Amino acid sequence: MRIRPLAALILAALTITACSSGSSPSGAGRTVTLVTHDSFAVSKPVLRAFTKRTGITVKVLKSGDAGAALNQAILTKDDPLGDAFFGVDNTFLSRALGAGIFVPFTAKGLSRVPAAFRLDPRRRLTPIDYGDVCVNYDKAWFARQKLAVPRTLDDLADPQYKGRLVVENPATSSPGLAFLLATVARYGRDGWTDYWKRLRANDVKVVDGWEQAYDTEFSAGSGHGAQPLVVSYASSPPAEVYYADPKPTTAPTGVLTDTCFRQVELAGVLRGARHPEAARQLINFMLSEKFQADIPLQMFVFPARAGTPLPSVFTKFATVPRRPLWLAPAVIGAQRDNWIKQWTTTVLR
Amino acid sequence: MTRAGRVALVALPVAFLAVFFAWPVIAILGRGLVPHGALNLDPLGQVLTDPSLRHVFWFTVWQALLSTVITVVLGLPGAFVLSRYRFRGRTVVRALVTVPFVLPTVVVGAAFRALGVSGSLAAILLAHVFFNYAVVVRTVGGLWSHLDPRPEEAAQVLGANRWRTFVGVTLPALRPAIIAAASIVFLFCFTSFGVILILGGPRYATLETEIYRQTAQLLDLPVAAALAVVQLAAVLAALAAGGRARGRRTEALGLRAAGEASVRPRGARAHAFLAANLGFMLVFLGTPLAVLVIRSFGAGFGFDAYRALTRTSSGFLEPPIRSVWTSLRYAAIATVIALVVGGAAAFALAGAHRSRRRGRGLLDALIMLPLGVSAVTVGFGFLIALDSPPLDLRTSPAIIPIAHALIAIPFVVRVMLPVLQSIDPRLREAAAVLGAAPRRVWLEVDLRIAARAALVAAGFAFAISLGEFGATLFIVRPETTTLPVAIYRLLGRPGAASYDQAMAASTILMVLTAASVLLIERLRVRDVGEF
Amino acid sequence: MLEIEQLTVCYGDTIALDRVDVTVADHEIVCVLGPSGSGKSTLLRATAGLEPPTHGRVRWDGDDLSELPPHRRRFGLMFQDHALFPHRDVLGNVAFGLRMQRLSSTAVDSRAREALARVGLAGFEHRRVRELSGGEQQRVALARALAPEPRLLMLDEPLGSLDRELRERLVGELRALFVTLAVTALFVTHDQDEAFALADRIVIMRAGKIEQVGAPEDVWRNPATEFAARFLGFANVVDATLEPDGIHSAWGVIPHRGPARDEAAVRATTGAVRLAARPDGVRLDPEGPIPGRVTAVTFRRDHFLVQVETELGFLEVAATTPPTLGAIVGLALDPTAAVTLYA
Repeated sequence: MRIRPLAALILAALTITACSSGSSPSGAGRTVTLVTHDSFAVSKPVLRAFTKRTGITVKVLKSGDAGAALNQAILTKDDPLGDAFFGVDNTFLSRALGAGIFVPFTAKGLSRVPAAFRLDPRRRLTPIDYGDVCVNYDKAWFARQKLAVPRTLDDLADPQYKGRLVVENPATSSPGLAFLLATVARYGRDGWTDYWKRLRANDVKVVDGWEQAYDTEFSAGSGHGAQPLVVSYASSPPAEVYYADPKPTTAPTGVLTDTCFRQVELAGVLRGARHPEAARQLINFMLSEKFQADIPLQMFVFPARAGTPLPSVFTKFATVPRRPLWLAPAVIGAQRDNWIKQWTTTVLR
Repeated sequence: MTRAGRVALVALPVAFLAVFFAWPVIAILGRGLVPHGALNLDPLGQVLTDPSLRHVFWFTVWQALLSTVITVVLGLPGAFVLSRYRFRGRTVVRALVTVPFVLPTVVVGAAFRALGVSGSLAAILLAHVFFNYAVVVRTVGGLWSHLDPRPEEAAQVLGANRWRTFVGVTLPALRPAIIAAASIVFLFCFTSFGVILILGGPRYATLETEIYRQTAQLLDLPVAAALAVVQLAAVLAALAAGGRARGRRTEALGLRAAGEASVRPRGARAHAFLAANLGFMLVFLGTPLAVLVIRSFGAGFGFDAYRALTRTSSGFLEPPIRSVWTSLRYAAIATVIALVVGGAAAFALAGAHRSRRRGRGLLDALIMLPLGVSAVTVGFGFLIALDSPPLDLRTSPAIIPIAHALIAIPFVVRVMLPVLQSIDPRLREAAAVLGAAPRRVWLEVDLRIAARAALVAAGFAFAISLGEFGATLFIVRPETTTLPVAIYRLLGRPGAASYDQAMAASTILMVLTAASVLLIERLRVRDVGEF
Repeated sequence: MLEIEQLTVCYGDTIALDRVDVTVADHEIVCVLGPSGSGKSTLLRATAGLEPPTHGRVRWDGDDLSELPPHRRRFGLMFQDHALFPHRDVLGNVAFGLRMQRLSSTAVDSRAREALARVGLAGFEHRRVRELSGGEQQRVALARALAPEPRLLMLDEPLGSLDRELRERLVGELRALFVTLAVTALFVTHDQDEAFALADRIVIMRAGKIEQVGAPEDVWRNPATEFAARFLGFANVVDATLEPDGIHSAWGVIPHRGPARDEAAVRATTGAVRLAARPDGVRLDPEGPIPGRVTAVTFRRDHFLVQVETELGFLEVAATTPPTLGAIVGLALDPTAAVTLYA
């Protein structure tokens, strides 16, 4: 038999598309589209439970990192990509609200969320989870070097930790931005650049993303790098334990609780949504016990709803700073770009 | 070719590029530069006079030029040995060389950093050569393997030494392919994003990273649009220069069957040359890849990481291994789109070239442009342009293979066009006199002779789609996670086990790429034979 | 029957073909003979429909073919370097024209094999064309052109690139094949041996124009123009005048020459003409009317070709014994071998 290559390829592709279209869910029931960033995750049983309870199928649309996803939502506000949006955090809150892309809605269960997380009094955005960006340290390294673990931001500028810290570029990385905000919160609008000058003199290493910082430069990361101090998350130690095989009895890393900056993630119903009712039901569900309990092991952040049971890996290995550093979203919104520019001049040029 | 057929050949690629490229780009540029219905060019002036942005611009240009020159210089000997020397395992080497080209930058970045190469200009250049070596080897080698060896022999008989023969005879014959490869490499390096961010470190910025920052992070559309206009202008200038260098006329080169032009290396010098090149590939391309493979086996040198990929873990709706199937599916669709659209464009360009019709330069540039325009510009353009039925593709998974095809089409055209242009016109006439109507001539001669090139192009397109990451990340749904996106997600989790899994997934991607390229190029047909 | 009328082809300002008239009767083999660049190939291409004529037409059995594209003319054309399809094997090349006729695949196969066998290449079916020798390629090209049984077969320098011995053998084979198949053929060549061996009729072309048409023997004996004469080997052309008593030239006076029945008419005319003779029509003769010095001697198997510098320029003589270089010799003309050129 003679096979023509083009015909064969086309045939193959048609077969494949035919197979795939057969396996995709038919649009029998109602659907709701959730627009979000690429770190969003939910487990299949939880998603199924929602569909079972409401008859609504959730279509998740991830579009880049948190900033890119929000910007896309703003750009398409005349004709939104979906019905609900998840992933506005306090660093982007004022831009989101300023763009007017969300409509007010009081989610069921909002009363169970601590007041500190309810950042929008007009309830256009509903808090779903929170987490902290903190400096993590390599326990084994400090034990080996017989060096005291630093505690505060000031300690990081101490010459005995010279060349030991790796941070992310706030222009390209969300934890990097959070850490910059932590220093602003700690040293004030006039003092933070001086602090960074000291960090620079102390040979702080800057990389563009969390993956580089943690996987390559951090001494406890998989790359066995040179820096025992890294800007990461308060949930990184439990994640280290959770993903390890076999599971260690203690976390290999720890968190400097005085360096933490709090991030709260919120969700809202998009203005112009085609299925606003379904969107409201989805957000109600996201604040329900079932979804909230699923959050820690899916996204490695903490549920916003008070009293949600935490998995043991969190209760055993996670540290929640009692007084994380904080800046009002409006202040961040007004100054963020400016601060990033100043930071670039101070640290990189 | 009938008139209607000719029109269709031009119309298909033009329509595709107009809808999926030009329109979105114009839409997003319009948002930035025509904000309230009136043209506002202030941001452009602002961009052009800002000294730090000027610095970014020049850095973008010269690093791209330097990367291109190094890649071409290192790639030519590789193209030679892989197209002209016959040796055991050549096809496998040719497929393996393609692997770096399709690996996501995050993965390669990890490998390079593990080798201690990062945070410097040298790292950027090295990575650009690493990624684009295959472009030169394949694009130039594709033509080289068909080149009639006799003019070279004639030159040698006439007393030219090897070097003079190469410069005087071979190089001019290869010029179209070299320029084509250089243009592609330049565009890739010019719009380089991941390499700059991951390996260059925060001190290095290109127009591409700036456009990304202004668009995706700051949503400063006017400045982003102004930067995009600057980028577009530079890319057009580079394409025009390439077009001019390629020359106004391409002679029929008297192509030979691929098998015939290659010989077993003879003599100590030939063996040494072959060995040196294979050694270079092994060290330069092989080492980073080997690092990935070794890491995938973890500290215990076992298959734990691979086994873990078959289980659903947090952050994934499906076991990560399922993304292999998703990737293959998208790659197949993207390949078909790229072959049909790019093939039509290549035939149209070859035809326009023969009859010296106007506008072929325009089509040529239009096809190359997607490589030179920021992915974020096109991506955000999609969002505001393709928002109404029947083209509301913003949330459709169809957009992924379309985006992949957009990147693969220039390769399809660049691989097929030189071969099409060098088809002896008398073959068409012979077919016509033997009773073949124009459409039939096209089917029996052009299409058949181009089939081999089309297969090479298909392998390339498939590989590009398999490895594409940037555009896919923009519009991904949990159930349509492609392999590179899965790798990225795994890398985003702390812990050595996750890292090993990312490396295991990268290894799978590498094997998949090499295997599919091999397989597609092996799809030989008796009629096509070795050609 | 093929009729080419006033066929003119221009490329920009250059006229490749200038008002050419040629006819080829059924089963006739017509050869267009001319040096390279004389427009021979253009004539074939225009006849095949590959080159649009600027003026004039091509007819077949009275039907104007001007609007008929090449693939519907049912002509065969064998290209100069064969233009074999590199992507097909030998059988694939030969079968091509048959496939275009939408014959059943078994018919295509058997007729292609038959055509291959006819040119002596049975057993070569699945060889790649690039692996063939020049002679084999030529045969494949011929089989490919013949297989669809075209009503007119055109050949462009069919034996051009082959070595002499092979060419001589193939000429004989071709002639036999054409006669067996009773083909109607129009072919072009620059090689007169080939032309005279194959053709029923010869057309001599020069710079896009026809110089002379005639039967091979006629053309060979009586070239009509100086160009035709020189091209056909009449190397010795001298000025002459027609007088009632004969032809006066440096050779002396010789009797009138020309087609016998015209002799009276020729005798009646007077005026300037040229007298042409082949080297074998001139002999070395110490008494000969034209003296000269030997400048070159070339061995030609059965004779020596002697180049002699004379007052009239270089003349060529065939001699059985070679004179020494530089020797002063006399040349004499064999009157029966001389041809009068009126144009």
